[in-house]
Amino acid sequence: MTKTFLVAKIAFKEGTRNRALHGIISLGILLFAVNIIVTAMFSWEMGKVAVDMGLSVISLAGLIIIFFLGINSLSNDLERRTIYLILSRPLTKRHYLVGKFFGLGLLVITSSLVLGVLAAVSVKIAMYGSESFMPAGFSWATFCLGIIYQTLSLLIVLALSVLWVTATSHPFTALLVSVISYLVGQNLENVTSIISTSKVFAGNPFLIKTLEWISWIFPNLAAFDLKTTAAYGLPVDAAYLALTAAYGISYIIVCLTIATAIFNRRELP
Amino acid sequence: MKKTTLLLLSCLLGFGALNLAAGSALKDVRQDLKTTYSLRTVPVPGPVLGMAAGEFKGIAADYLLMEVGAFLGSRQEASPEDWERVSTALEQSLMLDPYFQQTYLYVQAFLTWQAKMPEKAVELLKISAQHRPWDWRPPYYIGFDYYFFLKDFDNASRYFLEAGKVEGAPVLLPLLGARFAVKSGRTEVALRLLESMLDDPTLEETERKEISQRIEAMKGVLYLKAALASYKEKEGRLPDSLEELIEKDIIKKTPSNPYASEYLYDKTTGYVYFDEVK
Repeated sequence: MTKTFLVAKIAFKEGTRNRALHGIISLGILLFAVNIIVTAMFSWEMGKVAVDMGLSVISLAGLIIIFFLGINSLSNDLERRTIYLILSRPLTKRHYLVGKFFGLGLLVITSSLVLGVLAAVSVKIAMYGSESFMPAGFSWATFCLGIIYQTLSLLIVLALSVLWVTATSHPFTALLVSVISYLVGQNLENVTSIISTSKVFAGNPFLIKTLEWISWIFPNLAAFDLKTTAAYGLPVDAAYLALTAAYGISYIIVCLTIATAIFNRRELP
Repeated sequence: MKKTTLLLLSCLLGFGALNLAAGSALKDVRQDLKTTYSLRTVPVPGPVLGMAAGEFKGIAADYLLMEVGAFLGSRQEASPEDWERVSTALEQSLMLDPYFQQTYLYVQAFLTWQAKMPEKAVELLKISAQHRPWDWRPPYYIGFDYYFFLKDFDNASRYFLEAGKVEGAPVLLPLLGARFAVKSGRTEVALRLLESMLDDPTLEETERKEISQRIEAMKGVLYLKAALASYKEKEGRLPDSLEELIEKDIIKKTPSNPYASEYLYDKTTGYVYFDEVK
């Protein structure tokens, strides 16, 4: 475990030194300033707009970190063969891969935390003097819950990206498949629901069955999207939260296990 | 060095001045052309739009509303095609975020009065009413649109009564609903709702009195309607006046009406009213 954390620490440090991260955080801050202006363009329930914007910026920043910084960091180790420097120490491929995931995951969590605080500040500023225009049920607890589940969703995307980097031979392919996985994960539930209830597809059980199978392979990321719940302070079921968390964590573990198995068998360049 | 600085400075000053002059002239030209903001909508079904927006449905809905707001704020007159586009944008916004208050307020403000599309407004307001059970305004607006624009008293009473059930709704709503219920023959339903409202301990004395009066009036209507039915069964026709019910010994006297000296009766339809609003 110490070896894994050692790799995680290095991956995290390497990530924080990356200028791209600073750019992402700056973009986040800029978007929060925009949030204050955009919110002023609405007349009712402006708080909802402020929360929407805040949580969306966190999500967007997290996705950029994963797709550009995370995948690059892993691919660069393989492409530039710096992985040999790491593996020449008493470390296994498993230590490296899981450590990298933890390091990059910590980067995503830190980004969510920093941008989360900034989002809360931007919501406060945007709503200063207009507190009565917050949706009736809004609470900061649900807001935090929204950020936590969004971060969990990002960690799932990160785990999937790690898997695709190990399974594909080129960083661009890994990026492409990761983005597609994210899009599928976001929409699969919606598409399945439309197709299974639509009369047009009623006579095509093969398609419905295929979608059902795909839904077991790709993560249901829509389940982690609590932005609307947070924006309106809609009631949240504790059992639902527990189930979603269990589903997310187990999905990450499965992804990392498969990624390690593939990586162990893979011959390094 | 000096030459380069001079060149850069003259470039900056020359092109800067040109930019200012051109920008100012452009503003005037666009003003003269009365250039208006146009609303662009793509007629895409809601679920497909939802898929395209992914987890950013909320801000996509906000963006559509901003487009509608900017369009409505920039034009003096909109054509029927423009209103169709506004309606599409509002529908799409509701598909992406069916909870947002501003969307249904836009629907009620613009699709009914200005666009003259009350049916579409009702259709969209129903989405808001379904997703905002804590808010009495969407069912109230639906009730109002049914009453004022569509002259459908049955649905008007249904939605006014629905709105009246929501916590914090003005007591006027169920009273209005009850009035339309009498007109549409749903008196018993309205009566049950009003009676259940009396159990609310937070009611103020004046509100309690208003509800009690309406209950009394509606009970009077029901009593007379039952008497009229007995009369018709006995005589094979409706009476010319309510007094005939007493003359034929069907009732001893007409019940008291808290809103007028007596109940109003339409002998052609057999309807009984407690006030003069028909």
